[in-house]
Amino acid sequence: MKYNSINNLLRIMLLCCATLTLHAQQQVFVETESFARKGGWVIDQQSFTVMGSSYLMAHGMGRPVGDAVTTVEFPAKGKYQVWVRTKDWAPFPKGPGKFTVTVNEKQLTPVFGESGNDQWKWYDGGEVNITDQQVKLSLHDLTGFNGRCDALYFTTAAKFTPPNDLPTLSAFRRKLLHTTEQPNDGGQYDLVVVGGGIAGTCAAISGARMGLKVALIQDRPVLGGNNSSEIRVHLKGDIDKNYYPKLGRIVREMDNGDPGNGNPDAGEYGDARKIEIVKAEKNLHLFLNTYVYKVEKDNDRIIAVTGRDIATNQDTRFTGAYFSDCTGDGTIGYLAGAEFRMGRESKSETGESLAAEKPDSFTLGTSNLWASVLVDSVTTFPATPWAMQFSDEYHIDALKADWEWETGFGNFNTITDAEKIRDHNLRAIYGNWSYLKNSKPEKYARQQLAWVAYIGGKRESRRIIGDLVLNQMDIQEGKMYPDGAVTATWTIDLHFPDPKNSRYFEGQEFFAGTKHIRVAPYTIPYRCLYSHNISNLFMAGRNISTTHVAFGSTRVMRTCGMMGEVVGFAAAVAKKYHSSPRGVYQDHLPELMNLLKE
Amino acid sequence: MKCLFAGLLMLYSYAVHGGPPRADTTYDVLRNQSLLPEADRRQTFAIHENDSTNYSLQLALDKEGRPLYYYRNIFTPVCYTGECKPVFINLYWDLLGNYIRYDLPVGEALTKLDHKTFKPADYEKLQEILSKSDCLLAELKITDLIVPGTEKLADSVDARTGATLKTIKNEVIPGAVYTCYTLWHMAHGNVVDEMNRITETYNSKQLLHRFLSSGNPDYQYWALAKVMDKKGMITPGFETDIRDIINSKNIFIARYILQQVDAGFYTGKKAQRWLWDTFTRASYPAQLIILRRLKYVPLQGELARHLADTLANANGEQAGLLLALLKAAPGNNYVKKKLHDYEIQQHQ
Repeated sequence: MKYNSINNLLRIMLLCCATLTLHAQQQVFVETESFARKGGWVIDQQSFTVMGSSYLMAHGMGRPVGDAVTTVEFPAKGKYQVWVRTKDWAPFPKGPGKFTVTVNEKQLTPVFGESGNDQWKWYDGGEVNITDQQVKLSLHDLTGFNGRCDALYFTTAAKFTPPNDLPTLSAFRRKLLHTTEQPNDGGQYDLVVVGGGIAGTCAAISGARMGLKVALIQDRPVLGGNNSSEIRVHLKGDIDKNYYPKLGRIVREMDNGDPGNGNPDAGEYGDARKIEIVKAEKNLHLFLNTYVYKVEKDNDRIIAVTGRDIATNQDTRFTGAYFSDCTGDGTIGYLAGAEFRMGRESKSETGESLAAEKPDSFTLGTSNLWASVLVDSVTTFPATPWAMQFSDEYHIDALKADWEWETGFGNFNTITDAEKIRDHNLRAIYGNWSYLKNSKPEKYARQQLAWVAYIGGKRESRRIIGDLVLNQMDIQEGKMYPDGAVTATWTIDLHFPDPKNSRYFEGQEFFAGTKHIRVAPYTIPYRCLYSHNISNLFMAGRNISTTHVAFGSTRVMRTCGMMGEVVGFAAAVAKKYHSSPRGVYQDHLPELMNLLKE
Repeated sequence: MKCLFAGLLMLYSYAVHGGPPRADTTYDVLRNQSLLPEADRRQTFAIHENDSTNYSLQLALDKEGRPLYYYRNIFTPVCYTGECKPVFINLYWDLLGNYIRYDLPVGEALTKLDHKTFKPADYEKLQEILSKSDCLLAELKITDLIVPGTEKLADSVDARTGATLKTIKNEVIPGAVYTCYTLWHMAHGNVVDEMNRITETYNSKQLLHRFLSSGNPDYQYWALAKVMDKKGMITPGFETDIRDIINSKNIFIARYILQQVDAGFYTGKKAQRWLWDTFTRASYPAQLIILRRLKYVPLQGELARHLADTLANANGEQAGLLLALLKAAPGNNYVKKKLHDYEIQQHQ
């Protein structure tokens, strides 16, 4: 986009909206996540990979949330056609996510979010007459049940329909939104850690304490990932049985005590503490709310990653010598062309007794935990005909969720169907809660939903292949490789749909069972922590190099945090010798192991 | 001692009829007596399980002699460290052997290892434990669960069961592990088969009607298995009961019947009038089941017209099913027009 083609390009209050004239057409594109005041709406970036954008969602647990409001300057007065990009997230047959849009205090006629169509689309909002170029926009939620809006688009061209197919839409967004093709310069680093869960945060701190200049990039406003107050999974895996007792020190700092899973008190998970610990590191630069969606390479090396602010949509580019994929989804490895696996290997491929007979796309699921609290008076909860339906014969009689509330299991892809999975979880939670509130008042009349996660807690997605793929035999035989680094203790804990839940919701399961296969403490080799074919890419967290079966044990967060600690040490050794992650194994392993021993 | 007592109990209660357990002889510790209907009399069954286990099982009856529920007055010694403590308790089951509740003989209390009596929360916890039919205790021997000679949970329990120690702790009362274990196995043991066997002897048209209209899914499935054969044919005289269940709030049993019942159940003008009425009141998933089921049913003109009317407001999934049905339906101008209108609507 060139400045001379722009008519009245204006930005207000970091608002990401753009206006321009193309063939005399006046246009204004407003990303809702950039609204100046969000009211009770929340930003959801979980589907960025399939939508190319974040969006705003009215997550009110059945109580309408406050309006999201912003002010935009229009290029000219006149009549504009309004388009609203939204979807009906629960079209069974009509969803509950209803909202209206107001332009200068005048409500558009359509009610959005109840079309019966679950595809993201532009909906015609009718025509508005703009008489003052300062235009106030608001999203007004009608139900508190997760209505959502991606963007608003105003055009003076009466017959123009904005594009719905993803590549064209992405180009359309880019053209209308970006004031410059150059992203902000995020800086040059020794180590760029993408993903601020427990693994990534520990990797960044470890590297920074080794004297590396480190960037930690996280796509949410908080650190901790599954252990943050947004997801509320407690830390598991022991740190007192380590072969190298030095590991686990940073994990210990991250540990805010054990509030269990889905504790209704957000404070128990210590979001602020985690951020303070990171900010105290002078070599560590923290970038929150930044979703990395682009990787630049030079042959087999990553040279830069670009992230987009999930609210302002401002791009920032980070260059580095080494990168660590702690995204959980293996996003950086995937974008860089790293070898990866997803789903289950077969017995014949891996020789594991616990492997599947045939390879398939089955993964462990994603949890959206929830909790209710006892309140002083009787509260009501509406009927939810669009949610899953329950009866006396089958329902989950529980005051709060635990790990069993889980969707995925090969029914959905944990990356590309992340939104559907979360929504499926919400339909289970709200449908069950509505049943409990309305059919079991003796137990639930004074219980009120206190918290429902809108960010899914993922267990499994891609696993980046390293120089060694840890398997069940390594674990059960307790093989001690020369590069054995992180001690893991968790059982081989491979969830499956709860059989009773399957009987009632075949193919739509949302409740899990498991069988814990106990293991003696064993040690994860360093070679599982770097990519086989991307020469400067480390991994820590659930996306390290293991089989599906071995992942069942390595995936818990204290163990993942210690992987991060090792990555920090290894990156320091690599830098010292201008070497690579593999070079550290091949040429400097004694030095790395000494660092762990000291 | 247990054996001797069981023998005494048999002798004592062999009389076939007598009064039901009365409020003045039982202590309704959880105040949940209302979970069971009021009984008028009882019938006693002497159960001979094996050479060392004999006991009396009571069947409570109403004034008309119809069976209501089962119960047992239990005395069992719970032994640890060589010492036995007596446990007196009454257990109650429904007619299919599903555990419902317990109470205690007046003047009795349950105690823990340290001889302290149960607190209210312990009594509630016991009810919770006994109510679970798929409890972890089912898989375990008592010797797996506790350190021999104590009531302390064995460290190796989680290794044996695959469950975490925390999960197991949730399923027992600390200090009363043995009591929980013993009572759970009494509530869910062979007695369940005995009760089912006895209830079978009461099978009658009247009982089937009663079960089908009970709203209790277990009773309904039990009766359904007797009035609907493998081909989905309904025994004449039970059609109304079946329709009422389909129209009830229990979507799961409605789904089961809608999928299993023979197509003849939906065939004909009268049946399809009822089906349309059901459709309009059904939840969304039930509506989809009906639409899928209609694929195998000759569609009458009236129902076809009603379904055609819903096309305009249908979502994608409904529309796909409706279009398949309506296009396959016999020629009907009204339906054809609606299909045409729908196609125009889609192209707009």
